[in-house]
Amino acid sequence: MPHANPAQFVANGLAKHDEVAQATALDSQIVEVGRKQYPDFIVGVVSTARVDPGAIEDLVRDERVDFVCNIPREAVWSGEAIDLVKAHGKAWGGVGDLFSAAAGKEPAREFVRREYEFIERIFEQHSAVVRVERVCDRVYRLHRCAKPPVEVVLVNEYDLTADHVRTAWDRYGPFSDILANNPNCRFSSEAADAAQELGVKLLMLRPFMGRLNRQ
Amino acid sequence: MTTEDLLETLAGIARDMPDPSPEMRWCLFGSALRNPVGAADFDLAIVCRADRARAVREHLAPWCLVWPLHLTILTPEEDAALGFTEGQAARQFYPVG
Repeated sequence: MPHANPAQFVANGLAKHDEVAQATALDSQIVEVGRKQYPDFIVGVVSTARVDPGAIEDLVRDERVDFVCNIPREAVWSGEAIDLVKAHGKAWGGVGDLFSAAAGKEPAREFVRREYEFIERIFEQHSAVVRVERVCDRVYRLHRCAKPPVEVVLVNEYDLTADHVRTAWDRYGPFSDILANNPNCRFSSEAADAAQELGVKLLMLRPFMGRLNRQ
Repeated sequence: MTTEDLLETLAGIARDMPDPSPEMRWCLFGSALRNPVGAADFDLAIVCRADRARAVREHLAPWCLVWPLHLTILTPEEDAALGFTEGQAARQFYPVG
């Protein structure tokens, strides 16, 4: 079911945002955002289950666009698509990210989701990690000296269920680890069982950091 | 779109689910319950047997392109252990009554 007008959907939501004075859909993919306190910006909108470079190429080449937004929350951004957006000096994310960018005083082009900024810094500073490779939006390959790489999926739920584990596997598998990086995360015993059945380690941040030192 | 409009539409989607199982419950929670238009995502909790979870996701896939649906699919046992729908003050819209 293709979205009838992705830009209008996003514009309607932004118009209710506390920091937004007005949001206007210029066509089916472009939204002009006028902010109350901070500089205006332009959003390019798509709605696809998987964001590959082809889905966003026109938007990243459009000089006006500052932020590329994909509506589905349950979507995958490929590493190539993320690289393409970054290479053009633009920001990317979902509707929640866009709302956060609209609230921030920094230019919308510089927006990075706090979750990713935080975890990338932690990975890069870990003594066992020699290189951090972004495979896709929620998957990192952590290269280590004289040890096999660790391929980890970030899951940021408060309550992690077996379906979250199995959906992560369907969407991103195979991988070796799930990092439950919400500090308040609780996981069900069924989630732990599902991870074990898949041969995947399901860990919170502190044990995951320790695990990186081991084989 | 009001919350009631959204709940009615979502209930229609739930009703269209092929082969529904009797214990299945669909709930909305989070900011979309207060104001769907300004919500960054629509938080749905669907309580069902583990073997129905994939079918629920497939049924909702077209709607995930229309709205930023955030799905939490859990078994009745997980819901009881985590106290999820109660803790989130989730509003059940299917089945009703």
